[in-house]
Amino acid sequence: MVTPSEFRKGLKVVMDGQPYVIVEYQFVKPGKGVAFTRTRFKNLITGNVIDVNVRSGEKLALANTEEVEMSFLYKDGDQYTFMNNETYEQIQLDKDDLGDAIKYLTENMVVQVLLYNGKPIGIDVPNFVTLEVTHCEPGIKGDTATGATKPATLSTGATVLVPLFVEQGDWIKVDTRTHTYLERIKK
Amino acid sequence: MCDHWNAFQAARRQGLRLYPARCTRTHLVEEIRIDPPGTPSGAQRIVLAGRVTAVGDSGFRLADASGSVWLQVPRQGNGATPGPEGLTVPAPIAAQGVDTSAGEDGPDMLAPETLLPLLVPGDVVQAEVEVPGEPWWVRRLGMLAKARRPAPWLLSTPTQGGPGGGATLDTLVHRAQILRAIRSFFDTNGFLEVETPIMARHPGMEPHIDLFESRYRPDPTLPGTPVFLLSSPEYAMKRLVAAGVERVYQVSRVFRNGELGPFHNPEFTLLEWYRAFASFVEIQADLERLVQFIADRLRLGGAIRWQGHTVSLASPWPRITVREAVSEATGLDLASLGDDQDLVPACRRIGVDVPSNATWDEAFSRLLADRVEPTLGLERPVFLMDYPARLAALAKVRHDSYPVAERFELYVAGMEVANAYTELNDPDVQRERFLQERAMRRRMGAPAFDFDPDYLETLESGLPPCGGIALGVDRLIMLLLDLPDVRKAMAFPFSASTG
Repeated sequence: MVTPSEFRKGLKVVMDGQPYVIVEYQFVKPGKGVAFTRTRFKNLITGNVIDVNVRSGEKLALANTEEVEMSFLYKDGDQYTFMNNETYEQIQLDKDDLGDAIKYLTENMVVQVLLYNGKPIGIDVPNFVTLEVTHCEPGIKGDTATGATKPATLSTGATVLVPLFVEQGDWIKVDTRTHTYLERIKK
Repeated sequence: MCDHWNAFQAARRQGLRLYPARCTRTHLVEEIRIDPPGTPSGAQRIVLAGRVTAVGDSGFRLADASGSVWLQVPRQGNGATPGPEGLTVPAPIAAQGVDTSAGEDGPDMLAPETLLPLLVPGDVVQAEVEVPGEPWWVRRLGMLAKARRPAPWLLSTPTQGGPGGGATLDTLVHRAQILRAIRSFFDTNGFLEVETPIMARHPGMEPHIDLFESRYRPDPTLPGTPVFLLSSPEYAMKRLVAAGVERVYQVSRVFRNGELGPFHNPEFTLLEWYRAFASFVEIQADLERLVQFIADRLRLGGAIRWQGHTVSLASPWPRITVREAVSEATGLDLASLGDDQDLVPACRRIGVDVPSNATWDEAFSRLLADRVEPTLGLERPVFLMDYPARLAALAKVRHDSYPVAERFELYVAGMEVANAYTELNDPDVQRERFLQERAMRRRMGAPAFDFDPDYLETLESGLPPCGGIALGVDRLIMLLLDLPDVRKAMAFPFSASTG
């Protein structure tokens, strides 16, 4: 059990029988009034985000979650299959379970599969991935300073904003948490 | 440049004195810039001391309290050999001829080219320099304190944190300026600065303020008796008013347990002042003039600019009652919502996230924090006044259209900065409130104390009518200096992870 004074980002808890992760929280205490913790929770199964005021001293159960390293094998329709590299156990996840991670998933990528009460409910892809630009408007040489951007489509289908000098066929490094371009990679 | 630990190890292998007892600085960097050698008042022998902020192949940058300077080191040429870990290790010290010009207890003053390869940003050194013009040359160099680990904050820009994740040096300079301005304002307005105990046997009874408890014991082997770190020095301040100090102020450190967040630190600085033969109306005028006075000293141009808000400090600052503010923000009429059974469902109906078993206090706090506070003080600071009587705390109650407490809070950019009362001086009402607050603490499972007998006796002997206020100095600093977090206003904010 945890109380709001022990909240931190990323902590996984159970509310109304559903697993949530704490996205943001803030201690609030107006004047000489009653303190509470304004908290943003993300449902680990549906991805829905809710804002809840949690009472000081209120106890929340910790979610029985576990992260296991697995490789992405293949997709069949909306079913995605992953394999535990140590036990060779295979699991399936539905497209809807994968959320934004799906935009960066490539074959054989090593991901963290999140288990809730032993059952897979979602994945985390690496924070940084390197992907090929499969489509964008032609580049402008030497333009590195203006900060202007254009959309680029990556080999996995994700779209990110990139600087004007990036060309089709370039490989770029992307932060999967913020969906932002980091740098161009020489291949 | 090598990493801190390797450089430290190499220096230790050399047998260098890394932490000598004495430093023999003669000048600050700026003193030499103002009075260079060669001029009549110029110095003959110059020894600078400070922190190394950058290291290059041909010299290093030295910073002291006055400023910083690039110091050039002569080219290496006396038997230096390449050493392990890519270090160039100078020849043994004996062969160098250690200069003891810095004295027996001073640093080993070496030829600078022998020490340069061991130098890292963060090292504290002293340097005998020659200033023929630009650049300045190092003649001898000695270590005063070796930095075996990096300290990123040393090189901090205003956007980075300070040593404890708190204020930068720049903020601390402004903080000191604000504290001087506060004292200057009250001193010139006839207020007496006092210091009263912050540790007491009989703390305030506010139900929603948790205290730090300690123990007084005549001997370390005895259990002793409980004492508390105060959340406000208000009782002592009013005892001084009763004793004849008609205008009194204090800047004190106070403590509130469990209050930790972007706008709370469990230990913080509180400014309180009291005026006898006055009410919260005169306190409003004081407060308005105080903040304008500080802002002028800081040359803020008549406005507080905080996190994208621009709040004009021009008089008069608007006054709004709690009833009006709640009504404007939500349409609810507090005058008809005086009971738990009324307020809680009304809040839930308009979508305020409050549990159905909430108390009135809890519902009101969430209503205020979620719906009302964010609308207050966005264009000018606002006095939110006339609180429902049940939130009177130590304020007098006046019968308006419904019973209201003569209490106000100042809001700037949605942020509460100060809380003031027309002070309650009726001992019977005070005793009654103490009993209610104690009962409420018991119901909540919070520790309940005996109330302060000295304070009640003071009221029984007659406390002149007075207005008083408590202002969160760190929050005011945060607003004036456009800091995102109150902990950026203090040198060493509290960290929950240590406990």
